[in-house]
Amino acid sequence: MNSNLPTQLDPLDNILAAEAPLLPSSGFALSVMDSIRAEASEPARNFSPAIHFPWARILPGAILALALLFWFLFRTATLLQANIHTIVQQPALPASIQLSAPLTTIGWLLVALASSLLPSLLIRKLMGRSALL
Amino acid sequence: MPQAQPNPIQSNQDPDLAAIDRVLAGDINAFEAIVLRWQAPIINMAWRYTRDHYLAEELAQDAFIRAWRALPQFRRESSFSTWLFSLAANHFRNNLKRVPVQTLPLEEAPEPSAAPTALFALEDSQRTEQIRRAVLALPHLYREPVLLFYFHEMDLAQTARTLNIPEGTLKARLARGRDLLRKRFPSLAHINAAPTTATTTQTLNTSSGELQ
Repeated sequence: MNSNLPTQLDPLDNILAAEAPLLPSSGFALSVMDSIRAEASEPARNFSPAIHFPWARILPGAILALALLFWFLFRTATLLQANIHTIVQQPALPASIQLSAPLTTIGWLLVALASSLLPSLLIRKLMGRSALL
Repeated sequence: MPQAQPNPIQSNQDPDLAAIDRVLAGDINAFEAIVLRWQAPIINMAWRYTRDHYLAEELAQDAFIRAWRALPQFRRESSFSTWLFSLAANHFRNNLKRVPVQTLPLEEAPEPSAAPTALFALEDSQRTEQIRRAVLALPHLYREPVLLFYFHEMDLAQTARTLNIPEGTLKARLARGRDLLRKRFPSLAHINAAPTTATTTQTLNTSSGELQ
């Protein structure tokens, strides 16, 4: 025995350590083994195959989405290239149009903000108080 | 059914490993030896988490079924008991999150009536039970270290392995948990410390003095 060990126990240690052991009820082991045997005899449950990722369903949609993205990028690039001279050599706009341009931009900004705010408000309404928004 | 490669060299030395090899080879009945050997410790562990005999047996049964399912994942890097205790502790912890044990908040836990002046007073089952139940009202971070430290007969190393945390972290959490209990039950300070029995002293192999 280690001589450095304390010869007295803290009262809290005494209470928490000295707990009378609980005896398992007589049928405990039997009950556990019955459950295990029952589970082992359920092959469908134990050997159920892993659920594979649904590539067959996802792939057509993914290919279509990628094709659309490339088409959009290609069209944008083509249009920009075609109109580059028009943009650079644009004549000075009349003063009335120049003044209305910022208003149009603000309008589009408000539309964009509303379109992003609406779905979040809708989600919040649907989720109720549990929503983290 | 669990399937993995048995290890005949280790199996010859440890009855648990021998039983595991038989289970992994397809003999379900061999698991009964494991259940019989570990049913009392696992039920007692569950009891400390729940303070409810019926629930403790139910949780212990689930823990054994989970152990049987997870047997192929037992890598034999630690002893089977450490693996089993960790698995059971995880299960009991998760169950407590799902269905918390009804306890009073620590600050509302009743102080044992009539200031006890000697150890015999604390041996009164009702009073000691109040203090033991108060452990369940400790904050989550300190509750489990305290529960398992005393379950493992104050063996720090074993408790740290079961919780899968460093011993230093365990000591800090234990110290804090025990401080909270002592503050809640100041009468504990007025009781003379009791002499240890030989058995209990032997289990203090990492010195409880470090924690006080």
